[in-house]
Amino acid sequence: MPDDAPLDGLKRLSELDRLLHEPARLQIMAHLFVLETADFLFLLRRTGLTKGNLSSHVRKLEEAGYVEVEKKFVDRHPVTTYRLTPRGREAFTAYRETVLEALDALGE
Amino acid sequence: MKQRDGLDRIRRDAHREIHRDGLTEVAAGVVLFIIALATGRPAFYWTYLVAIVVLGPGLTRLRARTTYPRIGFAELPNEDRRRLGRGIALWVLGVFLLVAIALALLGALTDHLAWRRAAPALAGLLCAGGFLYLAQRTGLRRHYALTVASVVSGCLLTWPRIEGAYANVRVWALVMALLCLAVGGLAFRRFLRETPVSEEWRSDAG
Repeated sequence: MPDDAPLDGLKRLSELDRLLHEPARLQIMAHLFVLETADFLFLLRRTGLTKGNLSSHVRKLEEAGYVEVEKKFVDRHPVTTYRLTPRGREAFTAYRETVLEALDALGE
Repeated sequence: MKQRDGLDRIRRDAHREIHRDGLTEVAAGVVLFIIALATGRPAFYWTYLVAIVVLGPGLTRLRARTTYPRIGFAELPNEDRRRLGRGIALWVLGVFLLVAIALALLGALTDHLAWRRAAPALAGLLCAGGFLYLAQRTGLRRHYALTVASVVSGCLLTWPRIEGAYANVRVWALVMALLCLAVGGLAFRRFLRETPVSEEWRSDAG
């Protein structure tokens, strides 16, 4: 009886959320996963992305309903903050589990 | 497992970044200075109230003017209150148990004056809990150093006889206040020098 686990692992990879399966977006999601909220500058510094890249990736995550944008004032200065939605949190958790399971199935 | 470690690392780096400005230590210094001023002096009890009312908003305002324009703004998730409460209760219990064991070994467990003399050690150990909590979150060496300094200065100030009500505790609080203000002040100066105000903050590129 052949062991199908590695093939199953590879099949699981095909179930990955394609939107999250992108290094820049994954970085943004990982940072927002451990923070309550973060503004554009904080994410820019932490991820090392360019302004344009960060803007476009955040917009895609926002369109997918994974990230919500909030405008607020900090000491009379307008700040745009980002926060993971419950849907985004679920998607990121599911992504992590799928990747870990798939890699486990593939083994060493 | 590695992925979990990676998230912990991101979390720790975020904590470290948020506390890099040294203003947390400055705030701790102010609180300790008020403790040094007001402990055992009812005429100064009002300063506790001023600290509670002014310190939090003041710190936020200062960060809004100096820190966020440099590193951006981020909020850490609220701690699980039950877990935090349990942790604080266990730490306080452990500290009292430790001091009780030390006094029992000296044959002074029921001596009221011995407990009073041990007050700086008690205060140092209790305060060390706060610094240790911060150190574990940020991994910053200066937070570990303040943890050790709090315990060492508290234990050392248990020995000398200083005249006045709670004088030893007040001296301990003053020593720690000056240390926190110096450490925090230096960190703040370095932070301002090394981290310029960002263009993104000025334009809020988001």
